Amino acid sequence: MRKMFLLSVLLILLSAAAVLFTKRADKEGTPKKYNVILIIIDNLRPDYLGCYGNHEKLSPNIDKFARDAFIFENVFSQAGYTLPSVMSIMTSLYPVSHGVLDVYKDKLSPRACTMAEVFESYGYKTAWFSVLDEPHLDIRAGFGRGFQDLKNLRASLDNSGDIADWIEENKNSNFFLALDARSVHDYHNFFNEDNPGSKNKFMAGIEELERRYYYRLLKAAREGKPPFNDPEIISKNKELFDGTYKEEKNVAILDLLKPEDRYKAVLIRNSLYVFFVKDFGSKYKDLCVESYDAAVRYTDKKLIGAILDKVKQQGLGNRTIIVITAGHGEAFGEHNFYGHGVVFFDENLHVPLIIKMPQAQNGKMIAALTQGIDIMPTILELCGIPVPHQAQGRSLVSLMFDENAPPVNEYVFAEGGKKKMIRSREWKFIKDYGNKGRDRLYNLLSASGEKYNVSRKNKNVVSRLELKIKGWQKSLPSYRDQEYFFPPEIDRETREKIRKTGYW
Amino acid sequence: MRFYRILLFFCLFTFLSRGLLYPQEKAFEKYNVMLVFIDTLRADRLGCYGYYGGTSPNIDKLAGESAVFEKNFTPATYTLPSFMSIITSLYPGSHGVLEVFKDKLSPRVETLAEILKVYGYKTAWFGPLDDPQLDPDAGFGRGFDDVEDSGNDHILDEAREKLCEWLDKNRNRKFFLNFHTYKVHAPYLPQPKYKAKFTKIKMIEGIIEDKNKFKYDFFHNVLKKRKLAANLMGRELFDKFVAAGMPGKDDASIENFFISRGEEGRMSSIRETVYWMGVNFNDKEASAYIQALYAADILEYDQEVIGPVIKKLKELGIYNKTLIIICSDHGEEFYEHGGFGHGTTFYDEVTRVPLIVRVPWVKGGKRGKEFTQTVDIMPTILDLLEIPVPHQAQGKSLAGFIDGNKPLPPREYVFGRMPVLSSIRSENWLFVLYDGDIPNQKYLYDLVSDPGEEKDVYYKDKKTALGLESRMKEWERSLPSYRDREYSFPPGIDRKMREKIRKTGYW
Repeated sequence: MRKMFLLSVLLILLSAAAVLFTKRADKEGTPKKYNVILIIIDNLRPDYLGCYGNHEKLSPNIDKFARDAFIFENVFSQAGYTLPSVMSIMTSLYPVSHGVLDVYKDKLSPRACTMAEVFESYGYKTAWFSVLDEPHLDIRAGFGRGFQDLKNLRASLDNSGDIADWIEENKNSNFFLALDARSVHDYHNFFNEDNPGSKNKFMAGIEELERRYYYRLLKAAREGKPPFNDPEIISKNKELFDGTYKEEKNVAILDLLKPEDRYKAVLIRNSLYVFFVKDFGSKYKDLCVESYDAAVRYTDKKLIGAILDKVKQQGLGNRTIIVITAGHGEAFGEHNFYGHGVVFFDENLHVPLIIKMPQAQNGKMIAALTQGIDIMPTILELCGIPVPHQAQGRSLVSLMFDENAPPVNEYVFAEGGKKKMIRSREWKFIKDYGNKGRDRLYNLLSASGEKYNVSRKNKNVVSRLELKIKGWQKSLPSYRDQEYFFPPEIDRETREKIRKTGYW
Repeated sequence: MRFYRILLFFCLFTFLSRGLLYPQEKAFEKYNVMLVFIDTLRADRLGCYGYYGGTSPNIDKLAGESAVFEKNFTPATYTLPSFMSIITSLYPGSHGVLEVFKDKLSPRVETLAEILKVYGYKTAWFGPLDDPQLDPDAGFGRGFDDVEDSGNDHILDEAREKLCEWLDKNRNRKFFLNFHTYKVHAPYLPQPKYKAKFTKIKMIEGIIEDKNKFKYDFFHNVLKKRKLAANLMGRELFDKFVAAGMPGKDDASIENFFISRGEEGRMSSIRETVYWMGVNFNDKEASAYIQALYAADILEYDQEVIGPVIKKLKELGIYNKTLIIICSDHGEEFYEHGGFGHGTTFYDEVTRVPLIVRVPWVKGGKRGKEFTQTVDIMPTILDLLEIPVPHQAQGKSLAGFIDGNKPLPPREYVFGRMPVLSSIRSENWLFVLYDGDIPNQKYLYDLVSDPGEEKDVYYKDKKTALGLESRMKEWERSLPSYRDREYSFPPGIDRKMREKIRKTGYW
């Protein structure tokens, strides 16, 4: 009897161990039919979220959601502006590989696949919600690929109810829902209601910006330069260039241009915008931060709250993976820069990443260095779907479930313009291929952080990181159907001619 | 009592069912992979392949624990297409990466590193960063987390230190390491202590044993002989060269001249030709001397890399968790057929390369006596790790032979393919088709009566040649092309323009 008892106890222990192991195997093993909701909130800085340590309670819904989710503390995007960085998330390719860098110009090559296409081929129902005609999220550039439903989600989020409706409609199928909310990106629309003067100030700035923009276009056209090349077009459409601002006018102006020239007009406007943002931001910094706060609060309530409620209400909580992240951050003068663009400061590249598993109870903070391109392999692995070989990111699943997992990335990379950035925990090095001798090295652990360039004092570090950048650059294939295929015999003229077709 | 019994059965069931439902760890969850590329290594110069010169004590020891493939052939005899075939398991005609600076591996192809990365391996490439033949940019760097410079081609200390440092850092994780240096490649610059083991001669005039001299000798000496220089460079380029006032200028600007015209490839091939022209193969002493230098280079590699790295793996305690594969891209000719170097012929001395696969869970000593090709390496590694082999793979897995009792996959012929040359080799015959400046030249060698491949018997036995040729053509036609042609013509390009572009010969 006693023997029997001991034997039983022993076996119970053994089977407990067995069950434990089975559970672990279950995590990594056979495909599971999880739904996925990927929420990209453009321009969202992690340090404005309560779950990342902000005390202003701007984001009660996200904070509550993050309590039992995996929170990645050190996630960096692959570029400082939307088009390449979100494309990197969707394809797990570095910007130089997917080659989608300029609005109205670049398109994702058919040789690269997107996360949505992978899900679609595994029988998922797929949907994409974003501002469909926003050039930075242009569905023609490749953002729409693989999505069965393409729905407009206005920056004001006033039709965010559509998302909840879609979830309810498709609750019985397996779905991959991705969305890019622009509300935080256009935070200038969220003015303080108590202070209506602030809106006037901002509008005055915008008017000034547009006046300069029209002036530039006019001047170029008169000189016969691109994008218009021809003064006649402008004289025919005088009413568009009278100097008063209207969003519709911008659209109309772009419509006047040939499709392949549109990006040039956008570049002119963007270059002016950088100065405007700096001008406006430095003058009214508090106002900016205030309206940014309001935008975060609004998005949290209107978008996240609504989606989470719907998921709970429809009983999808136990089979839905929800991921919240951002395309890039926003600067408020921390390093004398306002807004975002081709910049590499942490406030611009540091983004949140929160992953919630179904039935999760064991969320944790993960401090390992990770980047935007890691998101796709992670989500696919969590769903038990093989990751396509193109993926340049790495799955973070081991970090989530294994306490002793080795770090996934030693370095993270970003790029923009002719600059390349490499960042480790300690160092950030920016290599400028456009200007010799303008490379910058920052010691992130020192008190001055990204204020002082210390490249002269740390020549060894610079040469080591330079070599790393070189090796990284050389390891990347280009999925861009451009340049790449011009053999040396094709002369410049022919190249121009080919390029003008707008496909390269 | 009864309760306990039920409980007991229940527990037993749970315990057993776990074993049934969840099989053991797969190999890719546990084992590391170290793929060592030794450039220009002839199989017949290694002890484990029957060479008695004592070139490779460490490799031989490793080979004792490994499966050694005796009849392993490469499908191309210069670096770029040959290594590309190894990492993609595609024959050169299929991957289409044949010319330096021009061809790149199509993103549609999966490389070994990309696959292993997806399976959670930490991947690292150690190779020269600035060499066009092995440019990571051409596709060799794809899928690697770390792309490291293996440093100065002919000094191994730096590369070895880097490698050991990397191993130290990644000892606790599953890794895939791909290591390459040009040590065994010409010019042969062994350290004196290794050289002394193979020859007593200090130096022979004409044979360059100084790296800098190798780099610039051409520009300062050979250029004086204008006719030769014009031949090597091509008339057109040479005229430009003279017109630009290059002869007599300093090294850097001469180098710049080539680089700015996209002719680095030509520059390095000229250098190599010049190197070989310094060797007088008709002189027996010189011929023996150059081969001694080659042997010394192999020994140096063996002593300075293979030995220490295996020691390091043992120190770190991961030797028994690491698959080690040693292979090469091509051999080297020492005037066996009136030529030198490699890349222009398909004789056995350049096509027969070593393949040593050390699998920790298998006791070594197996020797593959049937045909294998280097395209088999990728499927073999994946199969050993229990990773599905991608459908693109044109090689066959040798895993069944290595860790089981299966015979080698049957193979009647091995093939070779380079821009103007193709070959087919059976047990008894070697057929080579040359379709370059003189079109449609055919050669046939009877390997039974003439193992040295010295007598061309094409005109004596046209029937055999025809059979082999049609078999070869059949094979060539059966291969898909992963070269990105046509594909990228956008609709806006009209037919005329397409013709024009196509005429350049790249599409």
